[in-house]
Amino acid sequence: MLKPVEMRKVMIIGPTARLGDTVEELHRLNVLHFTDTGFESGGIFREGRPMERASDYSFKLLKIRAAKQIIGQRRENGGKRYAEQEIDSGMDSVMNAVEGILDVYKQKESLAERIRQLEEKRAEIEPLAAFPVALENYSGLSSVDAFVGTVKAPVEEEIGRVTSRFEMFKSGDGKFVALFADRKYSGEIRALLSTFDFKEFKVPRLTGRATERISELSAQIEELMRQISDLDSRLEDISAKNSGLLNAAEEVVSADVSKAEAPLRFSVTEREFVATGWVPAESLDTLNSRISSATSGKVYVTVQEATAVKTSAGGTNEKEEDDSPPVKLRNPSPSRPYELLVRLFSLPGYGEYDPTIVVAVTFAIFVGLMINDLGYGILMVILGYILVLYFRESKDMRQLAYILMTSGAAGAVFGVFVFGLAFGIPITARPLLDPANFHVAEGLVLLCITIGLLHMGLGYVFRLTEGLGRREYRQAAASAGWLMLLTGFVTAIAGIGKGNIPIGSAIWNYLFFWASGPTITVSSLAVPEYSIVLVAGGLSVLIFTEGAFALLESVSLLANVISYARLAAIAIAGAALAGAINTMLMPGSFFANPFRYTAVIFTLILAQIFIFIMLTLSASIQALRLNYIEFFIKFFKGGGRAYKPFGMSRKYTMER
Amino acid sequence: MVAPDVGQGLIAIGAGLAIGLTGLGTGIAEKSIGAAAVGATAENPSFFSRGLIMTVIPETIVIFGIAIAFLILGS
Repeated sequence: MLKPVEMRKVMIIGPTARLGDTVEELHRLNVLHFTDTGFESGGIFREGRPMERASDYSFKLLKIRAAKQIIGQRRENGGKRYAEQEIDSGMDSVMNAVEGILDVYKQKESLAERIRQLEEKRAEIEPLAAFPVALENYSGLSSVDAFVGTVKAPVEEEIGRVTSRFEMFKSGDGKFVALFADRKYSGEIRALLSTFDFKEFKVPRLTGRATERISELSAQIEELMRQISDLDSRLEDISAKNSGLLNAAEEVVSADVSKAEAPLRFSVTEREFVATGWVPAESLDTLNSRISSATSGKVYVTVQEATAVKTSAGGTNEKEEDDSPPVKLRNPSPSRPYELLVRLFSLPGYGEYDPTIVVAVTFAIFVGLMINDLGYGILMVILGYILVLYFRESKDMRQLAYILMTSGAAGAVFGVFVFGLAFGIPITARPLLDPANFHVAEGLVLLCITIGLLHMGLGYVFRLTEGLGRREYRQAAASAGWLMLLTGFVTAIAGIGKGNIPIGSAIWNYLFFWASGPTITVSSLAVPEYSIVLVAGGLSVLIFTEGAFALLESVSLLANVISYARLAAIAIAGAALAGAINTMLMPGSFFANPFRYTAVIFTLILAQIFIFIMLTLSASIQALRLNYIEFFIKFFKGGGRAYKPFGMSRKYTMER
Repeated sequence: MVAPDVGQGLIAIGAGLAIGLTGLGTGIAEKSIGAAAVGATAENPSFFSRGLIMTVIPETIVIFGIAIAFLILGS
């Protein structure tokens, strides 16, 4: 629970004739994480060849995925699962559906291309629609030349000076013209037009009036559009019937592809094959018996030396990393979604502590303490629920939503029992802690620092036990020294504060009663003697184990301790901000006038949403930071490789 | 009119300065780290969490400010 799942390295050896059965069974078991066998190819070993069917399967998969892309992933399966046999035997009809979808798509594409061409053609004659001239007359007349195009200014008058034997049509602004003139004057007219920046317009070789042609083309386009929408509804029809089947088929075929390509991970000789990989220790027996029964005892699974299993923490060297066992986290289901936050930082190395549970508990408490409001807490839960509804498919999003919901619930609970607030409005007459009272705030700071002691202390305890486990006693002693120093710091602060801070004495009496005793006055502050002993003792242990540099680092530990005051600071800031907004916007006089009434309600809602977003964002970032920086740095190295077993988890189909 | 307590006013100003100036300091420090972190994340999204952590490191400065403010106000 606190450590990743224990792994064993296995070697699987058998006759090549049984390779297919072995792959099939391994895929079904979904436990083996393949590694490089380490046998040089070129000797008697070579890399296994993918099975012959592989390319056929890949091609099928490609088509199925293309078809899924075309129909879009609109439909859930409604929880229906297909038996794998059902898909296998119905593969022809699946592929028919796929071909049908691809075919309809191609038809649609060619229709769209045709529409594009027609539209282009229509655009070509559109400018001529205003002129009452048949299209064939622009080029077919023997004694008259046509000039069609744009000019920069009206040109009619100048043409009139050249000849009177012309006819001219022009667009509304006079810039687009169609000029018909006696062929004798063509040369002169061309020269004249060129001084007007004449740009010739190419008239398509068609017959009849432009308007007629245009309406013909439009009718054709419309007809094609209708055909496309027919195809769309056909596509809709096919996808409604087959989308569940397609999902299932994709699953089956991609399993087939990975099985057919699996031999690439084996080293083979003429007669035998070898594969190595990691298996969770608890699955070893199952692997052994299932492989043996699937191959009638012809394939052996042997466990390799356990001494080779070392911790992979901080492994950066690529070769070393390849040898280290893969990491599979295992946590009880309530804290499992918080693995997301740990993975976001780094996967723990093999043999390292998996801090997920601690992160889960502290994250919820920290966020709860900072939100500390029934209303905002409930809003967070609702937000999480909305995320769940919208991102059913994404595992990360579901985990994030769960984190939001649990920490929001914690915020609501804190809001009821600690600050007694809902959207900044007091809901209890005598809250446990009143955020508006300065002395209460001081007490809250002290409480948060005490939480910091427990949190960071746990980090040092992890490092201490890790050191002991690996017989690195120097590391263990140093961790003990840090723990003493940390306890010394916090008891000193608590001891100074216990007299004049409201909950200070309660904290002292419950947690630090053992440190009661004589005090030493340091610049008018009464510091408990025990704290001074702890700090001095811790520092001397550190000087012996980590050298004098530890003296400098001890200051940063003090900074870490004070860092937990942020929990109190954000809790109070949030409550104060909400309180301020409410006081400003809620005086009774506003409610006399209906216009003001609406404006005030609107502003109030906006302001509350703003506070909610700010508070949620900063609370989660700070809770994350306290875990990543103050807690993880004490013991966590990370850098583990994820455990990726050969096989798949099925969503749409059932095993053969 | 009640004579204002100048000493108490100065204490309040001191506490305000402690928080305000450390807040400014934090802002200045986070500005450049944040810009670099956003740049790094744009190139490699997996840098996001580390970028976030580095960006919030200077926040401790303003926490110190709060601690000092509490000490001043409490004394």
